[in-house]
Amino acid sequence: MKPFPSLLVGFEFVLEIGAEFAWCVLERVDARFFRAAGGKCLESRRHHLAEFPQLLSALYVDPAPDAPWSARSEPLSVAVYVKASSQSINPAEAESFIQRFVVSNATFAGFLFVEAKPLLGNLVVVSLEPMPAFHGCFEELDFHWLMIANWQLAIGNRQSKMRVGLFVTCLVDQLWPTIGASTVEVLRRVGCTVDFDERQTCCGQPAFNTGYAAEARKLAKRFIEICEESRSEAIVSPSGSCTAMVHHYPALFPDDEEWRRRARNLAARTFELSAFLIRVLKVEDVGARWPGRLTWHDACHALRDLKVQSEPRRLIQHVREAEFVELENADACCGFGGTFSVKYPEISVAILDQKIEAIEKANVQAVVSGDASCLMQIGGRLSRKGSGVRVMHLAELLALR
Amino acid sequence: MTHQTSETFDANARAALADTQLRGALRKATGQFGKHRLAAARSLNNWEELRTQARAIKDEVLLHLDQYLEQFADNAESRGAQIHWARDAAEANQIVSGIAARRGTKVVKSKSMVTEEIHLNAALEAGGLEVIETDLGEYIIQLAGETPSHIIAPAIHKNKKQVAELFSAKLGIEPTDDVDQLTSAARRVLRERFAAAEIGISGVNFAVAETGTILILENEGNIRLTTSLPKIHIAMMGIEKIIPCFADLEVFLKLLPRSATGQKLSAYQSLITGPKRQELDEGPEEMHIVLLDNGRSRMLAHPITRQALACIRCGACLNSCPVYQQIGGHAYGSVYSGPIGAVITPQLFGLNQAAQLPYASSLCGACREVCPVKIDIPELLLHLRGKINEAGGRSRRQGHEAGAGGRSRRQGHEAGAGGRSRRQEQESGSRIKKRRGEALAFKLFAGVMARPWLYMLSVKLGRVFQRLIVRQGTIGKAGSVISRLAPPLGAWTAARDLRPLAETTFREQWRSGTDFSL
Repeated sequence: MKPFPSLLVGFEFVLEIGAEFAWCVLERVDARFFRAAGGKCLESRRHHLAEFPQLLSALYVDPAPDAPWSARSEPLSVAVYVKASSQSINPAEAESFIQRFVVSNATFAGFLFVEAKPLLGNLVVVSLEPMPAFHGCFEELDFHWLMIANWQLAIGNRQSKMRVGLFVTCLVDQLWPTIGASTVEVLRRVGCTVDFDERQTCCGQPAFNTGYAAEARKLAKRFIEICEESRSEAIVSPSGSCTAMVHHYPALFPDDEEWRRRARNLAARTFELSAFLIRVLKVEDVGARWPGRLTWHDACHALRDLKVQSEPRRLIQHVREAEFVELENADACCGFGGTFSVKYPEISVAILDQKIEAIEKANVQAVVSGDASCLMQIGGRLSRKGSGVRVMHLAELLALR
Repeated sequence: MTHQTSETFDANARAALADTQLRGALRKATGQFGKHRLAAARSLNNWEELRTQARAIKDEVLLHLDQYLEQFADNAESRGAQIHWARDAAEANQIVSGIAARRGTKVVKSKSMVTEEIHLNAALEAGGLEVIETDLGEYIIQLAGETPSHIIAPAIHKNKKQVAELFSAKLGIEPTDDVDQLTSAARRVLRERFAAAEIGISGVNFAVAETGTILILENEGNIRLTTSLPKIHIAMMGIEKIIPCFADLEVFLKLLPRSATGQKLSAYQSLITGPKRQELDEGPEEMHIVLLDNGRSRMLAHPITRQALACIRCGACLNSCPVYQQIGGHAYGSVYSGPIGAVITPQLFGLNQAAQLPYASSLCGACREVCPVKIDIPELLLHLRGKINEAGGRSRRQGHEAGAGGRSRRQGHEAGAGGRSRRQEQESGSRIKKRRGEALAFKLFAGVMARPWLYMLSVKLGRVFQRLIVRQGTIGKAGSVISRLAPPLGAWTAARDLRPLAETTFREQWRSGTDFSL
């Protein structure tokens, strides 16, 4: 076997430096370049060439926003898993080579790749097992291809990093922090840097919905100010209703042009999680897995104010091993409605029971939704009835592997 | 049967929830209406455009209502109709009684929400007239002594068995389950009444300013008979029913039947422009049109409240409302129930009486989605909640100034409608206390949320106190002591478990550098 590792490590290093200084010419590693390097093997194995794009496309994972990229940008993540064999020609060399691509250690990877891409942790092990002569070149080809794929990944990763501010919401913060943790995990997994401004508290929705616009306005102004100071390109929230409230901020200032403008600017860059993933990042598969039967409840604000309906379903479709069942009245209100749930508890529960009836009929193991308030309402009734059905937030589901 | 009032809405709702027959009937009927409406809307490829157009027409009319009203009146009068302007319910009843007084005592009536609003039947009957409802649903509830519970299907709360029993008792027919036999029985009675009637009273769906024409839609044919057999026809309408041009009717004719029952078009559309013109023509000799204000011009003042006047009374919002679906129309204590009722009842009949209605909504927005004229009902509900909170605040300040006695007296005057019972005043007094408590709570809420350190402190305190009530990781049904100390807790946990505050908040985890990857 030719001493590829040392040669290519050097090359790879140069590429990384190039990328650091934004040498556009090196932004994309073209496979043809490497075919030339391994020419002798490749020509005699033409059919392998065909496999190369097939291999890559089969392992296609949609990347983070490539808006600043050229149209030639290719998909960035490869989800292949190859193991290092103890029968490698040079185990130590193989091991150290692999180490360079395994990005579970963020600091180390950061040195070469600038930013750890957790997905790489899934894919990197390269098989350097000696194979029969006939396949000897194939092994080298594999080696080439994976290197190419990883490099594209590394470079692409650096470019695609988007900075988002997490709007965790007071409900999630206090009652359901795993939703916040899951949201951070999912956003990081798809290549975002997540900021969290600890000054944030509440968007003011409870006050606004109970008819106390003055109190809501006070909290709105505070939230707008905090967000204006953040360096994030987008504010992402695991709550449809809180996001809808932020979108409603402009209407809170009918007589104040200045605040209305600031509110509009904030609203334009505030997103609910599934809307952010699908519409902004164009990501449908976040590498989630949850074996089981589940259904989706459309939270009212997300559905009717933010028009979020297909997005969560598309994300759920890509959850491996999950069996999705459409709920009979998925878009019917769960009966929470904020203070309505405690002002008119009997009506709230009567509405809720119709939702529970449909859930039981669907015979699922979990109900998923994008709003913690709905999950509290539905989960609270399921629990009181001793039901085995669990409630899960979309972020929690997507974070699972 | 005593009619429920808006003031006792919460008690009414609880009673309705216990009525399994009612809930079954509502579920079936609203489900059907909803399904048919959706199918009908989808059958047109420009449904959204039509909605926008309809709302634009209504907005235009409401901005210049005075001009269009005068235009309508002039055109109708030029075709022989007699126009009457009624400031309020009392005046309207007086006008109709006055017309009837000279003409006869036998009145047939077709369905009209406006006549229910002003309690016309009661007023006429008090004056010695015989009034019979000819719409089958209205006839049923008239026999039962009830009020309508849905804008387009007044007897939606009754099932076949109940109607059979009612007819058997009141009409003396053999008890039967057969729908044809029941309707035939009603028809026989009604036909006789039509033949003998001297006065016919109808409502109006749309009044065209350009031509002085009124349009009324129906499926049963009773409106045709009501408006053409008797010698006198009295058409009652709210002033917001005006539309500018005849051609505008096309938009509304596409929207209204589809939104109401899912039909492409109702079985009959009656376009009436004045009484008969020639002696040998058929039709009434006299046509009277009563234009009713009763608080509508007050609603014109504010752009948010003004949009409620665009309502074309299709009832789609009722069918889509999760609250209405569970409790039906009677609980609202008003002829206008459901989402639209929750916003116009407080405005027509008084914020005080109907103060509960705007809060009885989860703000899900289903009504806004189905409304053919795009009324933003949740926006209106929030606006009214704000107004009621303000009024609560005002009365608190006035109470301090004038003393409790003065306040309750003034409230008595504001409430109108004859003296209010002492019990009613006491009830609203306790509600006002509740509102004050709530206003204070939200001031506190805003104060805490504006200071992160205070917010964190309150979470920490909450975690300490909740140890009293958390059992096995969850908060179950609260005892009576806790429920009295913290009513929302009691209200929630009556039928639902409550998730407790987490051991560590997200914020605390972030601060301590937790690695969130799994």
